[in-house]
Amino acid sequence: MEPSFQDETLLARWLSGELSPAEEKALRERPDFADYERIAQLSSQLRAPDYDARAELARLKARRATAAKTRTLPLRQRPHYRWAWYAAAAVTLLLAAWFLLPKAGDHYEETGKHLLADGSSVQLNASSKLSFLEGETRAATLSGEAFFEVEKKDVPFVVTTELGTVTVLGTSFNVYERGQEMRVACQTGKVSVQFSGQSMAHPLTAGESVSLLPDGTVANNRSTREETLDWLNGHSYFQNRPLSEIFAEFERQYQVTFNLPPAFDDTELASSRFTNDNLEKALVELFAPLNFEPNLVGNRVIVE
Amino acid sequence: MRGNGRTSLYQIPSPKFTLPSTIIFFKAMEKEQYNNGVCDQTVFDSTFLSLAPRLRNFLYYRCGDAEQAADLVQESFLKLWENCGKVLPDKAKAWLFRVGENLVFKLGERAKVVRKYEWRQEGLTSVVASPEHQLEEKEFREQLEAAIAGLPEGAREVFLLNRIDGLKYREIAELLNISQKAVEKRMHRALVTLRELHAKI
Repeated sequence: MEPSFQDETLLARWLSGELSPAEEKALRERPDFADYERIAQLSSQLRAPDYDARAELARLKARRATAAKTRTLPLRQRPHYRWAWYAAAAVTLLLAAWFLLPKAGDHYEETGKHLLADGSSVQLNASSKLSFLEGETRAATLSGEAFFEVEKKDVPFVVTTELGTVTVLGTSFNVYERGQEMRVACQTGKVSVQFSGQSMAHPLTAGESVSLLPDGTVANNRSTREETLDWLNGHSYFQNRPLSEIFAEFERQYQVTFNLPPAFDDTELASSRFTNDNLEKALVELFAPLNFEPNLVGNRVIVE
Repeated sequence: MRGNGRTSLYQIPSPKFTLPSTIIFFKAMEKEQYNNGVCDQTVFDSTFLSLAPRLRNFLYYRCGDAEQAADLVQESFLKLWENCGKVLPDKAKAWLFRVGENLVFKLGERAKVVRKYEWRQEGLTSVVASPEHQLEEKEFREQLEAAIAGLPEGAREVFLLNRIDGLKYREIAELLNISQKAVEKRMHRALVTLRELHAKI
């Protein structure tokens, strides 16, 4: 008995000449390869009956001419039924929205402090979204950055982001999830962090933090507490972070866009601290150490 | 369908800068072209001439009768003409194949699987073969014909569209409105099944 195929497209790709040398070699070593070669060779001699496309087109035109003479068009194609369908669809959608939306929990987008239904509080940083739903767990879904102070309860409080989840019973901690990077810093109590696609959980105690880096690796205790939590006091604080990350945070805080010179290297590491509530002050704080003088035009920051 | 009358319009380079208004302008121009796309007689004719032979073969593999297949091609294109305002030119291919397939479906019981194929002559003449060899070749061909008839629907058309019409998997995928991967899987399955059936016959 021949071995079965692992790849369900192998023979197809062999016929079209798309196999890699290794695949081709393995295929040729199979005992049944000669049969496939024979089938391929012979089937290439198959032919379909003749077909005269031009004559057929002429025949079609003749048929069309007679059909056009005899056909009568309906005067009205019952448009009212069509509207009935649209109306039914709209009603269904509204009903679905009515029943489904409340279950999706409470939504928060506004920057600042919010009190959640379970008594916990959350402070959202700029351009961050959170939804919260109490069920078997206290389920919070976050994109962006937020600081949580969780009421102690037996029901676990779970923060889910695209990059991982954080599970706690009662504590305060910060979650940062932007782009391909996620950082969790525990301020009090204990939390457990699980990054998406990784089997190992990372337990954190007070003062500890863990980061998932864009390359998929995990770093422990990398960011200091001051850096992580300074935004709670109205500042953005960076220590040896790529300029691109610092700029991105600035753009989020002030809803501005940076125009950088083409040759500008924003992968360079820098340390910076700027305020989150005064644009002009923040621009000076950010750019003075870098020896740049930015111009503010509308919501664009032009750096030359 | 890239029809004769419209090719020049498609050569307008798309705008390098992405101003929304420019994009809308170009989209509007494309739409303008679609409006009389297949309804345009020259576009319709060239669509027929390029697509009808393939559609005929496809329907032939499905219904097993060359004349009936040709009639179904006529039916399909009549429907295309009636609906020319609704069918976008680049969707016309897949649209026609689906209409044709439905027509075969309606034939129901009467549709049969081809049991006998024609063969290119060069296969025999190019090889100066002994009578035994020729006989063996003939037998093998008959066995293969029987095996093709035993292929599951779907796999058979893909196999024949590739082997007889010489279509690439990507082209078949476009016609049948399935993914190229699905075409490759059907093709692979066809070969495995053919070999199994062939061993039994």
